[in-house]
Amino acid sequence: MMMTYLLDVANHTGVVTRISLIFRRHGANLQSLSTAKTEHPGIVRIVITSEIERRPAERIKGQLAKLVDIFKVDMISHEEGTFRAFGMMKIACTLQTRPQILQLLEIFNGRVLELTTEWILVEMTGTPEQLEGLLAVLQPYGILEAVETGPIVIRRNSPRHAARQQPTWEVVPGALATQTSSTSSPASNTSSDNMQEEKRNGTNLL
Amino acid sequence: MSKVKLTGAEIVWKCLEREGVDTVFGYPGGCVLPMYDALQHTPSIHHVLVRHEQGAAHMADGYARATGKVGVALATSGPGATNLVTGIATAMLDSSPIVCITGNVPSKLIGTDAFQEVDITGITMPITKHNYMVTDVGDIARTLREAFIIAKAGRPGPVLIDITKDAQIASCEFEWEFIQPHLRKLETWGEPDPVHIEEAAALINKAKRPVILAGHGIMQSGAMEDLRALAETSDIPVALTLLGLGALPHFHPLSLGMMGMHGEAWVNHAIQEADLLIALGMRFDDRVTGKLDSYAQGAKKIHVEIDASEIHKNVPADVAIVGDLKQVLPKLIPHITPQKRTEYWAEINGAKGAVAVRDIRNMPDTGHLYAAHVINDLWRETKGKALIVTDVGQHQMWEAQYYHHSDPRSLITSGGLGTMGFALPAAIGAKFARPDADVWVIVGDGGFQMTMAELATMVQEGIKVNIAIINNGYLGMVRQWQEFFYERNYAATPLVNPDFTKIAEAYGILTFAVTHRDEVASTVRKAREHEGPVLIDFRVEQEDSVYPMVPAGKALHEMIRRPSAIVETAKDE
Repeated sequence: MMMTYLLDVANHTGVVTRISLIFRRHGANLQSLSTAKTEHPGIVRIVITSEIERRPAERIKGQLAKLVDIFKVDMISHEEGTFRAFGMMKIACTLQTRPQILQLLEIFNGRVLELTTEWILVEMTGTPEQLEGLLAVLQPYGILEAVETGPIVIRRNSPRHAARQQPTWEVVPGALATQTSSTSSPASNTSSDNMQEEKRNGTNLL
Repeated sequence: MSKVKLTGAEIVWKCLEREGVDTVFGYPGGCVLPMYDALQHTPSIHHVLVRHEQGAAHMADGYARATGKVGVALATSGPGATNLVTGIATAMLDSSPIVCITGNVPSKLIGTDAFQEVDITGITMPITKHNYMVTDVGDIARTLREAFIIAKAGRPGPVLIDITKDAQIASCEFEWEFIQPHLRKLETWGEPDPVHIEEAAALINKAKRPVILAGHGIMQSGAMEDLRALAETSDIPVALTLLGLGALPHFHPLSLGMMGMHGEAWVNHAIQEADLLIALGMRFDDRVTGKLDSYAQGAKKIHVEIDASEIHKNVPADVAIVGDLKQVLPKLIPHITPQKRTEYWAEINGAKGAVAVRDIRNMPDTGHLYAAHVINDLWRETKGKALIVTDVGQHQMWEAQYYHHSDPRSLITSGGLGTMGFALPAAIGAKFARPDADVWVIVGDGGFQMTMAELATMVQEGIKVNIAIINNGYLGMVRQWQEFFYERNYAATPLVNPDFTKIAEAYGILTFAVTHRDEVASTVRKAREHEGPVLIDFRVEQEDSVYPMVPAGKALHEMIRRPSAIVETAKDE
């Protein structure tokens, strides 16, 4: 059963490793993994698709939710979300086949990036099924190279129509005199508080 | 406000001090030298030099389990760090809050296969609740604060912090009060849903054959009184997991004792024939359920657990409540209608009586020394008040069967991971946490040899831990499985042992060897009277087995019972 996970994670080093370890532990192979920045700099949206049975899929979900770096774990079915993936394909052509290929591309909303007498380089955005469809009709002409990103997803109707939760950093009761953040920034380091935060939220996901 | 400037190494100790740490178990090495140098400025923390880093992790674990406080272990990079691994995994599987601090090579050398460099954060990711690698002195204090919060939050567990040597040496301003942890909310469960509480109460009130399954969570949450109140209000029998022993006193009339693979027959039968299981702070481990397809099929299940991922994991729950037992049970109890279950209890007690005759303690003294006798006599001599730390194997199960625990946190044992070699170091850690406790190690001759180097730690620290070796010359539990399931093919289980009394004497420890039952009690008495540590080598029957036993993969009621020879002898007496 194809499962799609939507994860909102803290932008910390190693978080993808932690996530993939949990899938690996259950013997689940990741079909795709895409990470995308979100409207909040501290949060990264990770979309993972994997072929797993329902029970291990639920266990994986529970164990993901325990990771300290994960804010939210969601599983989403095809009907619940809008899925988009991006693909690039290099297709062999001759002067005879080229017009046919271009016609097919028009039907599938593919876009030509480069065109020579021997091959056409095409890009396409669509659902993973649409990308597969295009690939299938182009197959007879000879596919020299094809790559496809995993899908990214947005839920059509978020449960409460609410904006996504901002990360709330927990404040330990009684321990703090003020609300100043990262006051421990080192003197040896000239970086400001903001830079400290930026470093924590760096883009170095792996 | 003026801020003090400290080195990273000094900050580590200052933070530990502020977290209330009084003891750290560790082993020095190149990449933690700055921390060891800075230790002199922190007289409030006592450092215990172990003989192997695995011992340090187990000691921190034992310390944590004895009190519920966070235990701390310290090791150097490379092999020092990897030696912690077994101890960390042990703490993970048994939800024990420990913080392990390792040094690592300077950050410029990270990733270069430098001398004694190992990616310990990578290695320990699956066996920690969370771990950190710190390369910047400015991150040390915040990381330590977060580590202690994570270790204790919700279901406790181990956290590892790897600090590079340059971060230990560099300095920065330090003001503990201003260090703000950056963590998401970890305790996400909130108040229990009143609807679920009412559903649970309705199930309990109408159940005819309910059984409470109480686990480690009772102790972790401190909900012993609430457990007792719930059971007493509705007159419900309470079965305990191995780590739950002591949650309800053994001789409490509602206590059934231990359930599962080596639980007594009447306990497992009561579970199999129940119409309602009330699982409190336990996780339906395979050693507790046997074959899942045939587990308590007629029973509805109420599952109260702090770790949401445990709910429906092995056994689907009809009513699931995620939360802290200490918060959930007081909300549940007012909805419970008081009742007496006289008929139900008559049936359970009948089954109990029929089985009791098979009890090995009823055997006549044939001149043979049985482990069960040793443990039962030890229980009698210590009046059940000792803090027992067991290793893993047959003796662990005999201890659970014949040492009748009446106090919470009176048994420390490696349940989930089943780590041989756990007992001696964990007992040393426990003794530091509770210096007034009468700490006894019960250990097999196999497991003892895995970590017996820690005898030196015990002697160097001048603490008194009594050690009872249940010496049968075999890796007993494996031998038992070979006897039952592999046609007595004793492959690699017979042990040629050293003379344990001579080994202990070399460390200056008082020793005894016991071969007859009538010597057990007097020797235990002598050991307790002696000021220093004592080791007793109990040379017990070699091919004795733990009964009853649910073979792995079998249903909980399909037990191998005590052989008729034993039953007959018992009847003769």
